[in-house]
Amino acid sequence: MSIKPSRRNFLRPVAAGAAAAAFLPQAKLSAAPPILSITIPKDLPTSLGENPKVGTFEGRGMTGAEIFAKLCKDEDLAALFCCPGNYTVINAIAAAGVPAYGGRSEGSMCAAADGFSRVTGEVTACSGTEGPGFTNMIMNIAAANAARTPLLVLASNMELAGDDREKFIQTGYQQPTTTGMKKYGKRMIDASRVWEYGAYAFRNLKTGIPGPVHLDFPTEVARTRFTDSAKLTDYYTKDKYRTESRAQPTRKEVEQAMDMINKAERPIIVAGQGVFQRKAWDQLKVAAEKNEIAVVTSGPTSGHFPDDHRLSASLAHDALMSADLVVFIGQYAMPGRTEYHFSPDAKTIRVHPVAEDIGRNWPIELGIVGDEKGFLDILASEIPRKKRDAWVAELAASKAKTEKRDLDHYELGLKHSAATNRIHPAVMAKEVHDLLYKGDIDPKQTVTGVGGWTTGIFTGRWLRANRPGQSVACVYQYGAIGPDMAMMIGASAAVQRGIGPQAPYKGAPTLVVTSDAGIAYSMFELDTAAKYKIPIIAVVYNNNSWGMFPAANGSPRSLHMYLFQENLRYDKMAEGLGARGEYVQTPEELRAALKRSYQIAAKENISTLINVQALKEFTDGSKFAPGIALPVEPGAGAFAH
Amino acid sequence: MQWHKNRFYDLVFDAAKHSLRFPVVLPKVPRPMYEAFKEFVAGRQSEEVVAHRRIDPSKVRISCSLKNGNISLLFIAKDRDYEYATQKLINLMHEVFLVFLQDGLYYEYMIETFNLDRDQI
Ligand SMILES: Cc1ncc(C[n+]2csc(CCOP(=O)(O)OP(=O)(O)O)c2C)c(N)n1
Ligand SMILES: [Mg+2]
Repeated sequence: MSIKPSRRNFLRPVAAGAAAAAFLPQAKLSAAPPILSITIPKDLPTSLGENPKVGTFEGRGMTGAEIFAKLCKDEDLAALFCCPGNYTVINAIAAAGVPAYGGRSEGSMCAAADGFSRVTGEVTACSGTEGPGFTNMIMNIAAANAARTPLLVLASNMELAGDDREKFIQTGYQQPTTTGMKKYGKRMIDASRVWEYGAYAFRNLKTGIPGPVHLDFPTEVARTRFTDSAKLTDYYTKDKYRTESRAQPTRKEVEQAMDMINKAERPIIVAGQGVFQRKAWDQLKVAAEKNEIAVVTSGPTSGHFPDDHRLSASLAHDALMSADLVVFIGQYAMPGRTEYHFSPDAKTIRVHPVAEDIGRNWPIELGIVGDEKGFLDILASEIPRKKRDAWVAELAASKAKTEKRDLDHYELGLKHSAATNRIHPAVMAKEVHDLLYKGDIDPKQTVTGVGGWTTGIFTGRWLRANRPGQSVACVYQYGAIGPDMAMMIGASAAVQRGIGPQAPYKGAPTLVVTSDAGIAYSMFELDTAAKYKIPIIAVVYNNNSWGMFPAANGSPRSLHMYLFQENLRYDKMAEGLGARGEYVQTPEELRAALKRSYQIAAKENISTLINVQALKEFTDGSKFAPGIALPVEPGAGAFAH
Repeated sequence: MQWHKNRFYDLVFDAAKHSLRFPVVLPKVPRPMYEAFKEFVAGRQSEEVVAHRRIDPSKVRISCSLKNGNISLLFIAKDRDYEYATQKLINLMHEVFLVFLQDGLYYEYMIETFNLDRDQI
């Protein structure tokens, strides 16, 4: 069964269409009242089209919020995602000309800000009201922290004067709440120091290892007016309050590294998040090609070395164990030696911007403190040319082996799909793969994200990153189920604006593969996507369950906690939110739905949710092989480090 | 030292027999899994494996056994090159955990045997 695109039904005023009937109490049907269509209010384009207005000290002067907003604008804050609350601050930031988005829940807006940053490397912000809005963000602040996202978390509007007096709503001790999930945080209590603390925030966001910065903005600080900049502490420009200088490796250290690389027979670079953050992908490619060094990427975003490059080891899982030298560059979340697929004999070089982390979890032969870009600049220009035919051939053979494994699993999945009239996750993943990389679409174009459990394990390995910022592991490190679609709507906003590495693909649709458990957390943001005309295709693997249901095996009275109603219609819910919905149950239907959805996203900026109907039993390898095969790390589909 | 799955492993060296032995590589192993394990181990000595990863059959004789559900692994250093044998044995153990156990079939086995949380694996 396939349901026709139905957004149009909603956009035009209808009397009593079938789709509309679903949203109307039965009793009222007979009276056939006119059903109003979903529309974008005129106020929206009007408001978005207004000219920015940065405050000045002249006349009435500037509020603390405006002063902070001016600093954000000077620092090129890339975007703000928020829900109303903290009004003075969000209004000031939006008015200052920072691209701002308002959505449906603070948690999702936090994930969206994270997603925007993950595909661009830029600093983004999220905001919510003091107590409830802020606490709603917690899961996604923690996820951003685990992913080392330079995310500015803003929340507040309570008064200092109300502290400890239980004065109605929203008081909360914010800073202790984010302990362990931020790089820096401060509750401002003195309005004259708003600029000074803004500088603190951006020093932390833009230098060293990135991570969330949480500023807590009581109303006294946000609303106090200043007509004289002299009343502010440390009021000077960014070139005075922070530096672009980075610790550089010494030439001798790079020479030591080059010596080890030259002596190695099968060297590999693990190009971590730092290579992406520092936009050092060109240098990486030159260095790798000159010396035929294999490269595999790691981190929450991939593509800073293309998966389709002959030296890429992202699919060469078996060859990882053959590497005799591993060079970690900018590996922000460091695995242990039993987590990455490298031989215990492989020697290790670690290049990292700060010394404190070098040697943690993984013993080193050579540690180099220094900027990733600085290191790769020297490596690219100084490393001698070298041919490593045997190593390159091994990478190719290993990649072919992985591809065969994935195709074998797909064949199994096809059989399971045919036998059950439901879609196996290996089939879903392969269909998405074929749409994005094997058809008419430029295989470098589409930004993807993936989350969920069974969903993510089967899909991650089929997604490709052929250019920087192309693919996001939504569950990276923290393992949160749920932020996926909101995160990818944020990423889509970055693509829509063509920010940084997204510039050549400005306006292209994006695609997220998520789960039925996951979509419940962020589905309402389809409203946000529609409102801002951000085109996303959300492929939802609907297996009627939290995929951890086998945990209930052997435990009485437990299984019910893991199950949902069966055959829920996420596609219909999407229609109710102003997106398209597609329902599919066979591989052929899925293929057609994907194609249709992509075309409509590309041409009309309309999002679609595709409900991929599956069975929970596909998770169980004893009933439906292959079951849960965890991703090989580092490599395609990795999500832990 | 704690190693894979935060467990301790005994490695027994017998100079008289020129052997190195892990008495318990994996516990609670059912017969079909043991058969697959034997195949995996034999594969490490086959011509199909790249030379630098192959365990040279002229240098090492490998045997495994299944007793009370425990798999043990024995390396005999035919030429008494213990450094070679140890290095290959350690690498093989590493691959048992990172390659053999990870292919999907043994997910439930790992959770039960190593008493793991499903999210932590
Ligand atoms: C917010 C959150 N809740 C619970 C978990 C624990 N957990 C990890 S995976 C999983 C099952 C997720 O189900 P789903 O995302 O639908 O995946 P699938 O059914 O495809 O396996 C659960 C409950 C988590 N990681 N995050
Ligand atoms: Mg599910």
